[in-house]
Amino acid sequence: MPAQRVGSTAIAIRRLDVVAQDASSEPGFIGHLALAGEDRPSYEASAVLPVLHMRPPLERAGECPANCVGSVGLTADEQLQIGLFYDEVESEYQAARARPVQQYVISPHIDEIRREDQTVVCRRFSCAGFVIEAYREARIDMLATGRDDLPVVCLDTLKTQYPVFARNLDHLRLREQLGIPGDGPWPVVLAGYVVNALNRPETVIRSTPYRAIAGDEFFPPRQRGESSPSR
Amino acid sequence: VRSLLALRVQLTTEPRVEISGRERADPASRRREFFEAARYLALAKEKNSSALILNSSERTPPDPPHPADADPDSRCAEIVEFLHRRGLAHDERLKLILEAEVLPFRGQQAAALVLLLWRFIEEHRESNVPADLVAVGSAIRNYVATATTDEAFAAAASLLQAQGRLPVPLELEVEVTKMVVRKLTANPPPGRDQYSELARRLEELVDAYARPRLLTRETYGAIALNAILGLVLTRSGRDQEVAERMRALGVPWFQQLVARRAARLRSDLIARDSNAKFADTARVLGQLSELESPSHGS
Repeated sequence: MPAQRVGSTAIAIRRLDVVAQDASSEPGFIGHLALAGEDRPSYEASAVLPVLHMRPPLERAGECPANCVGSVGLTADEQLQIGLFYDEVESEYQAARARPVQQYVISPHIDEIRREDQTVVCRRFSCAGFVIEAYREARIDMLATGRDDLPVVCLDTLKTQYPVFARNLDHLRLREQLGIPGDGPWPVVLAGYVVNALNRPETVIRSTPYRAIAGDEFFPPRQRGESSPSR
Repeated sequence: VRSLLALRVQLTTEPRVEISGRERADPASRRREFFEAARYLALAKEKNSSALILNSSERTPPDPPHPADADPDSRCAEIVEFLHRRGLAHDERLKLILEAEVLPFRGQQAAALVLLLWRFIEEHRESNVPADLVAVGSAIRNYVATATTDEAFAAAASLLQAQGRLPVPLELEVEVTKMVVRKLTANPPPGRDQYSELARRLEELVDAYARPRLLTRETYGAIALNAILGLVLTRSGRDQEVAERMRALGVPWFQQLVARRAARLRSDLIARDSNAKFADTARVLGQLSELESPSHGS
């Protein structure tokens, strides 16, 4: 099933499908991603859905309304594999509630904190990074995430993506900590890329990582210069 | 600097910031206090909080600094100093333990930290307070990552050993086994069966949890997966048996995960092992990675 916006008709959501929330400041701009926490045979717009997500911090019992849903038709085995990945990461991230900013990373979408001998102490994810890596654990590589595979984005776009951090993103050292040093633009995995990656036939999603282009931060994607529809 | 240290700022409509500082003879201390004060002013404005009171003469640890402004080295020193204090409030100790996990401790600071982490783990590992166990998990990760390999693996073996009739909490088993794999990946043991006590504990976990009825339950799969990989990486001599057991397990989704992780570890090991010192480990990882071949698939 290709990705879809939740409209006036109820849709079915399966556990660990990707659910997306629009950014509060920009209609159609995907602001947040999560994994559905349970099956919902009939989900209606604006209903609250239990989710697993990297807010931050990572939450097993989180909740958010879904504006878009993308599904690759996970098998029961794939769901178990993603669940195991979550079990490993969850315990690691419970500690991060006291330090949410250090837990988060914008670029790359996954980062490891290491000691001098190169032992990994803990990992940091962006919300999109968490979803991408969870699916990769089940061998579903939906999106090409190499630096050369990604369109570059400017600070204003990142502020739309991360409204909670918007003012902090003006802080140069904080940007460095989040993996986006200097003034940009930067190759960053945005949440909308994942939804657009899932807007393909299931066999294609499973066989070919999607290469995002500018405009894919929206769903449906927009061409450069296309303006936002009014609410 | 002097004027700022003596400053008492009252912002009645916006955030209220009150700063009172002691005069100090040491210019470096004054400079540090100036930047502390400026940082808190900026933070207060940014947070738009109703009140933020800073009194630099207090001897309690400061609030966690704005992460962007904290100097990591001096914060590491502060954390070691504060954790040494017996009278430190329990909540503050938990916060500092959690913060220490993401700071770059090195050299003498790292050596001092591991002693403090171990003391904390020993004192709180049997706590039934969730916040304590979260901090114990963080302390375990940090301890295993920061300590020397001998210390880390001795501690891991000890943590996986049940104390009396009390079982080891699953949450701690996940942390310990995961960190054992990470530490062994970064530091492959040069000799065979160097960590026999740890290998025995890991083998017990594989025996107990790598069973079809348990693997689908929350957390058991993660412990079993890491115990299997850890057992191979310890070069304990028990690895051939593990590979055979995994082949016979009959749980395709779990076998696939073992195969993928083993394949990744094998490539990583081979890339760093120019003299083929760990060829035996690479061979067993190779056998595990074949579990995902079509004949073993779902």
